[in-house]
Amino acid sequence: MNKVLEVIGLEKHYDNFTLDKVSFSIEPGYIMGYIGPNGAGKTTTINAILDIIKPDKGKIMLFGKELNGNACEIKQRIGFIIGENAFYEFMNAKEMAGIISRFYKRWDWGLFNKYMREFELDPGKKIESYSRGMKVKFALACALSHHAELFILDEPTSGLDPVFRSELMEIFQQIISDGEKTILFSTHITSDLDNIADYITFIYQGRIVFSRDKDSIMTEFALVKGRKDQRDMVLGSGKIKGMLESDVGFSALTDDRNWFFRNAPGSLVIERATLEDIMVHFVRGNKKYDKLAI
Amino acid sequence: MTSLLYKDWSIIKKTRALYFSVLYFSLIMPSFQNMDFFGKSFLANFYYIFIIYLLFSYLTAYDYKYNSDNFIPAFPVTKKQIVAARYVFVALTFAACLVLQSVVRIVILVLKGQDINIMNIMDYGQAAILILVFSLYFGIVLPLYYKLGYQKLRLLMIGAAVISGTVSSVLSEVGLDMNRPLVMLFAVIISAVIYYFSFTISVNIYKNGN
Repeated sequence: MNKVLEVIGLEKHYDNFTLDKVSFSIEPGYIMGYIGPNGAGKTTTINAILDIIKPDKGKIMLFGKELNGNACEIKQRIGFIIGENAFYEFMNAKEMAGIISRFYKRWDWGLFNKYMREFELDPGKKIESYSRGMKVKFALACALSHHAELFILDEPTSGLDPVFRSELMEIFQQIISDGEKTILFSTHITSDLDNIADYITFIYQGRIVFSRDKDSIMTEFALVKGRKDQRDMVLGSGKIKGMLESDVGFSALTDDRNWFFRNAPGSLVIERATLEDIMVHFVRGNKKYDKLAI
Repeated sequence: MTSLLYKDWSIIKKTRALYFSVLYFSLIMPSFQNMDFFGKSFLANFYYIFIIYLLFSYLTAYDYKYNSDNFIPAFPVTKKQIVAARYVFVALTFAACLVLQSVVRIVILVLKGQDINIMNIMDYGQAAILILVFSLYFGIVLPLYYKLGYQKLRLLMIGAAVISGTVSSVLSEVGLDMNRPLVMLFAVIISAVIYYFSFTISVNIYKNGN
């Protein structure tokens, strides 16, 4: 199947951070969650995909064409939500949409007004008077109004309450329901992705830890919990990706759940790992053990 | 590029700087024509550059405040177009000021009952000096803006506006005969070359920026 987005060996070097050979791809009609802790490189990757920054190395292919050299044509087909504020907030929503509309050949005012009504946004109000959630909805209305095929959303749910986040998740699912639109959704709030993501790409310290379909992650990863005296035995399996310890025991992350089902003693508890568990164990749980399988 | 120019215009028309500019060129500047203190050309030329600086400054301040560098390049435009639009907008502002000044001159001539002809609706010598000073000022300021950003540049820009006013004043006072058509043409060509080179430098800086 054709890829909507292919990131191949992307590199970007800053004084205190390096994006190191980042590669992943998305097929049309899916939602990919791009997860990682703050400062992992999510926004840097997205900025490179949106042509905001120039990568030092690597290639970005969108809709089968290389971004470098075809940026304008490609960006006509992308809708985006980036950053805390991405608008001139002293303007009202209609004025701002008037500016945005001039960038897109296929801007559809009928569609924009429809989404503004659906999202219960007053176009005559200044954007600065909108709540954070309303600003995200406005950005989404703009992104949806030029018939975009790929939506790139950088931390769209950051700072939103759970009710608003759940509403947005529903909207994202509606967006891809026609099977033709695709979403790349970066977040550090992994619970947002539990129900809607088809693929997960996990980035940590500028490197991709994994990029795969969510179902396989959910079936292969697991938390192995046990007493303190069982710690070395579990580490010795060579199948642990991260481990957290407490006064009474440990919690270890494995990507080979079946191995533990087959070989671990019954006193160990094997639980389903959530995306948050996976991220937390990778980030916090791999600092002091030299036997981790990473 | 028209989308970027429209964006800049949408910002400027919302600011007080635009009204101040119109007020200056329609009311204040004509009164300078009759003043002698400080040397009229210094004040007039300084304010001329200062007004354009003010509009540019408002524009860049709003871009800075709302992080436009973080989202404008994500729209379907190239970085070269983004820089080009800024150069065109500043040049259009300058041209609009020249036109506004001529309109005011025409109104004054009409009120005084004098004839209007191509030679008295504009001080071409002063215009040539202003074009030269304008291209020097923004030819230096714009690449610095793309290199250093708004915050680091804003004080420098005011200083540069004062220097530009002084330079244009000196050019007038030393008796450089800018009213000769060849000298005028030469000044305009030099200005265009400076502005174009400045543009290519800015594009290079902006394309490679982080």
